[in-house]
Amino acid sequence: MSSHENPMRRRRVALCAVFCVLGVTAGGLAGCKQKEPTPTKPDVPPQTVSAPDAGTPGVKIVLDPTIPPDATFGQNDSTLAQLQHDFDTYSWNTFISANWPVGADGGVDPSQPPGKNGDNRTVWQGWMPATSIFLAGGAPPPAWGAPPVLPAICQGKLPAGGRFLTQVGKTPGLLNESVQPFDTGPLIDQQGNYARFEILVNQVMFNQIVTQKLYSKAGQQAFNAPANFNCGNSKTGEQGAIMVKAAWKPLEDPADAARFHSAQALVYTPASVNPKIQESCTVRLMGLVGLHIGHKTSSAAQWIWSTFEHVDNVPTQEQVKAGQLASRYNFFNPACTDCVANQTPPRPWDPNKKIVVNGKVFKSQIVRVDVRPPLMVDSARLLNAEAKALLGGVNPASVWTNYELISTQWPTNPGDCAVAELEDGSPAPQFLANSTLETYIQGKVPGVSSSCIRCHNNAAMTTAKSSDFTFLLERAQ
Amino acid sequence: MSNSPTPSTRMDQFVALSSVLTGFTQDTLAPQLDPTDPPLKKLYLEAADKSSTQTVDALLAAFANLSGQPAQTIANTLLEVDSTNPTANALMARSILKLWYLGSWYAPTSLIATDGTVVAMNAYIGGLAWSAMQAHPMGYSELKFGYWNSAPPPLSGVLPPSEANHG
Amino acid sequence: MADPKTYDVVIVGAGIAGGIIALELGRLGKHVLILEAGAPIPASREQYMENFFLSAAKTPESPYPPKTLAPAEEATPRPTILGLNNWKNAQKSYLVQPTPDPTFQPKQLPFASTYERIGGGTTWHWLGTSLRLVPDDLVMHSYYKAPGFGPGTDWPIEYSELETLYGKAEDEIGVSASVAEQAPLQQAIGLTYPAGYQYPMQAIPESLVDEAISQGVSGMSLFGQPVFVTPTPAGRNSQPRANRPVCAGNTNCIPICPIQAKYDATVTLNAALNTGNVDVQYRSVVTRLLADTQGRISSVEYITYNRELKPGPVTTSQVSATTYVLAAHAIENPKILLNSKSSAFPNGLANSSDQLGRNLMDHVLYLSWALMPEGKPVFPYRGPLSTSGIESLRNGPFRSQRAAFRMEIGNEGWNFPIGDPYATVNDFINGTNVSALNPVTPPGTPQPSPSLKLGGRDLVMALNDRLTRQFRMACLIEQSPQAENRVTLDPTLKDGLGLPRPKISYGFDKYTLDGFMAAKQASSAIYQAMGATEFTDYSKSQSQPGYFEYEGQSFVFFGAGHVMGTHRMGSDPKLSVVDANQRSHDHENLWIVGSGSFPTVATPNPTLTLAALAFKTAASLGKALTL
Repeated sequence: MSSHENPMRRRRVALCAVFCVLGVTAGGLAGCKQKEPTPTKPDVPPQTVSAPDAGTPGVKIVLDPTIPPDATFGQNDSTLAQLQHDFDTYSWNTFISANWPVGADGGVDPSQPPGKNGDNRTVWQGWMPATSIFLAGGAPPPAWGAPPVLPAICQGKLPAGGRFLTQVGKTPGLLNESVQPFDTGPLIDQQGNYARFEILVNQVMFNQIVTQKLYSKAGQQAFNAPANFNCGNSKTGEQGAIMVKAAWKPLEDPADAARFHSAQALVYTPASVNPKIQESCTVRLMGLVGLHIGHKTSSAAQWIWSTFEHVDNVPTQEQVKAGQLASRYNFFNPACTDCVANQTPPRPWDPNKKIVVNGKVFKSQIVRVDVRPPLMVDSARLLNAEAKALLGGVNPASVWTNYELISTQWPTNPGDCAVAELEDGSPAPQFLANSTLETYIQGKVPGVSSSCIRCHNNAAMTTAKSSDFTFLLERAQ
Repeated sequence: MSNSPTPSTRMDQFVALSSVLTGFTQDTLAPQLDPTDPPLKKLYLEAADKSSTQTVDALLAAFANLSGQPAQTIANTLLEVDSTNPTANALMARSILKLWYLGSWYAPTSLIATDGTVVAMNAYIGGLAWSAMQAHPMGYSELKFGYWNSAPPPLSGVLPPSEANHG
Repeated sequence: MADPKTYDVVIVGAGIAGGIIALELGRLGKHVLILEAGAPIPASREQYMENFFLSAAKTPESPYPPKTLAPAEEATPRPTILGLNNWKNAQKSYLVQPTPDPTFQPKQLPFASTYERIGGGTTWHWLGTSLRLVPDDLVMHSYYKAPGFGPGTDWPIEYSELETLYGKAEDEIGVSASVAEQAPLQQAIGLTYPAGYQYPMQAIPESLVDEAISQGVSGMSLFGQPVFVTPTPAGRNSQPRANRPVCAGNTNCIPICPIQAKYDATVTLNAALNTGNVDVQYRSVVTRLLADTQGRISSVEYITYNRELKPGPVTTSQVSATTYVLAAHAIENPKILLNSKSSAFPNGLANSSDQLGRNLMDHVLYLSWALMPEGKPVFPYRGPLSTSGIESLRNGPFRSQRAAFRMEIGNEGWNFPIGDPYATVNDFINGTNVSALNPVTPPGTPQPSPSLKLGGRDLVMALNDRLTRQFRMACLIEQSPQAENRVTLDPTLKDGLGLPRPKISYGFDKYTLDGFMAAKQASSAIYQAMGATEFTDYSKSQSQPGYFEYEGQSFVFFGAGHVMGTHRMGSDPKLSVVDANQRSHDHENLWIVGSGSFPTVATPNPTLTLAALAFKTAASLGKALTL
């Protein structure tokens, strides 16, 4: 194994640094000079390369129902471009396995890849929604696999296998956007409807939240330490903590469903005093427009952040400038000449109503501000083409061919996954935004523009202790 | 110029020179995996070249000639720390040094702390002065609530291994 | 153009005071229009942060528009630090400052504080300090009989009422503090809380600088008062709250918190807009109020513009409402009212007392700095800009003779005093000694040697040694109310919209200056008690705007950004501009709000108190509108 060439070399350097005390003590660094750091555990699993393809042996997109426990690295991969390719490949493999069809019995059939028999209910849709974890009064969540905990107004309305969607903003509860430095607004589609969001966690993360009683304020106080979730590990095959955040838009015209992964969902709007909003719960056909997948792994203590979008979401700034526009988008109107791009809708925001400005229904005019460096753009383009071919090979009409990877953010200098409260680990790319999930902060200003790792590293529990890159724990009651 | 370093190694030379001038490791200045776009080394060499490519070349040549000497000796020689009448080379070396520490370009003739021009947002947050004082750039912290109530981790890891006693 | 619908109230200014009143009235179902002179609240703070990162001088105004020094060409010019550095030049300074006259020292000084004219106001760059007044602060005339504090300077409000209002303001701002940690101040200065009161969030941890000073002053007393360090209540999240994250210690409350862990008024404004009853119009500069013959305000005249610099064609409009609130700032409020003069009101509106624009006050800031002993770093440049202060000297019998002060402990090394780390880094590379840390003969050197020029590891070690031992304190001194310290309108100089610019007359009396001297004495005594080496030196600061000489010594004062007193409240209409509800004595449907209403300034940073008063005003307005 060529572990000396391994791409996580810098992590070793960082570990070494811990032993190097420099200060008034003379020669404090001497002990470090020749010391070869002792790897605590392999960063990169041994590769079992059977069929090397061009460029990156053993790292390719496959139709496999197993969610990768970590990214897989080519033996000699050491450059940013090579590693980005490896992480992007991981992202697609995760997307495919997380979207694998779930049978009536809840299991997956390896011979039935996504889209084979049309759209399908997915693995991640069976994970635990945040709304069922952080309950009133800090009550313990139901057992894994139990149906979602529903507000009274929704009870009896949930269609078989349906979703339960509540959020308007980016984070907890209604109109609740704590992640973003501004109280940023909702995303409104071209029919004037609010996009809706949900966050779900896998069983590893759920179990840890339950075992450590992090679902309640009292539990967090008793825990009295920074959270530290499990790391996925290629060597053992164990998955780490995974969070999925999905953005959906209502499909007013059922004919639109052909291009989306869709679901019948309970769309819940909790009551609010200010703004004054009536509680409501309706069944609607929703189409998936955005998907974040965050996975804490041994090679990425700051988690691997994969983000996907529906291909019809928005044009890029360059496309708008060049007039190279499609006839329709989910969140952009090519015919509008006086729509201001990336503006939040006027308040108050009531998801029960369309917003009317000067007699016209307000629609978000969203443009992708593409700040990805060229190598990230190239890597995503290459792998998107590969994935589309693979998924289209399963079924040329598959809805899954209508999703694209924007990029994968990963730490270039991660540190030890077992250690809590790490710094950012120098993420690549430095900035990454999903136009449906970080709509209003798509620039490249350090510390402010969308960066999954930078932003999520500010997340804390109700006790103010670090919550290990998840904003979910602050929802505890 | 026939004796100037070739383009592919000129950047490497610049990084090696910068490491010696600043006292920080090359990997700190220009990590092998560097997601900063564009990389600071590129911005900084461009800023120096914009001032005078000729002087940068002369400085790199002088640096190459000192190869094999202890890093502190090289830094002291190039910066002309004992001179009251520094050469153009030394003034360029000092501007490059300030650039790495503060993210701001100071004209080689400048002796005024407020004269600098911020080269880029990433240059500001990458300033080595903040690392040298075991802090973070004002306005950019990756640390957690309450960290200020404890001493910072030791100053380490960012400096090259200590050489022989340099006094 | 304003919406033609009928408004119950027009509020001038989208800062914290206007925001709170809009929110409270919007909740009551009243229709509110806010006219804000400056730029809208941006969809994200990316542009402001980019401005900050790329500014060479990271002054309080650096993130915010406009960026020019051309008040005659800007639609909303405002006082800035860069403008202050050019205070003698009215082409560059928005405030038309006093003509310097050395024979009048320390009179005819520049007014040194700044503010913003944008949606959210100056809370964009407030520190977050949320200290309460103490009961004695309200009665400087009747209790302390302090010289210069006339009968118009007692506050027309009971402390028990203020206490209740503080609770509301602390909830809206989201203040982090512990009542138990503040308890020693009860005996020291009379600070009390209602039984069982708890702040909205847990206290923010102290810094290592705080702890070093706390140890250093242990057992110390000054002016008959104990000296001790108290964690500062602050409008910064110590827990996730109100859709904002916990403070990550970016050390940048001023000029801008990158993650909005620190409260700013955009939070309240957004809540006001959420009521559905509040409209806000940006880039709408109020020129004057119009009054009918009975003295009721009948409308507001304002100018809208599209371009900040050289505004070009603009539109002048009027809007009417049942009631009016001026919440534009302590300098802008009198500017508007003075500009509203008419034949019926030749001295301007709300000015029958002739107190409008007078009694301009600040917390005069005395800055000092020191270095910890070798081997005793305090690791500054970490944490919020300030986490603690010495509050125990804020009240005492000495207030009959001289001004009180509080001492704010800084966590940003010598950034404020000398612009570090820039100054010291330049010094050790250039061989200069601006910082005084790189002297010609370093302490302990047997033979004279030139200032050091360093590179490589030597530089790292030298900087690490010096910078990690830096700290500073800032004393905020209670300025006395002086009728001649005032804002008037310059007869000739205009802004980019053709509006007259504020003309300042400003200086200190003996009461304030003796407080300044006591602050200097206290600071030096504390450094000495700590074994720290003081580096405060203003002997060569003649070119600084705040330079003055007193009792044969050189000083520089700074502005605290706390602009107060210009439309003071009182129960006697002959001595004050507004009543306890901040309602104009002269115009029954006009309220004039903000720190301009403070008859005296005491020592706490004013935001919490002006927010508390805004809640009182909102209640009084709500009542007036219901009658």
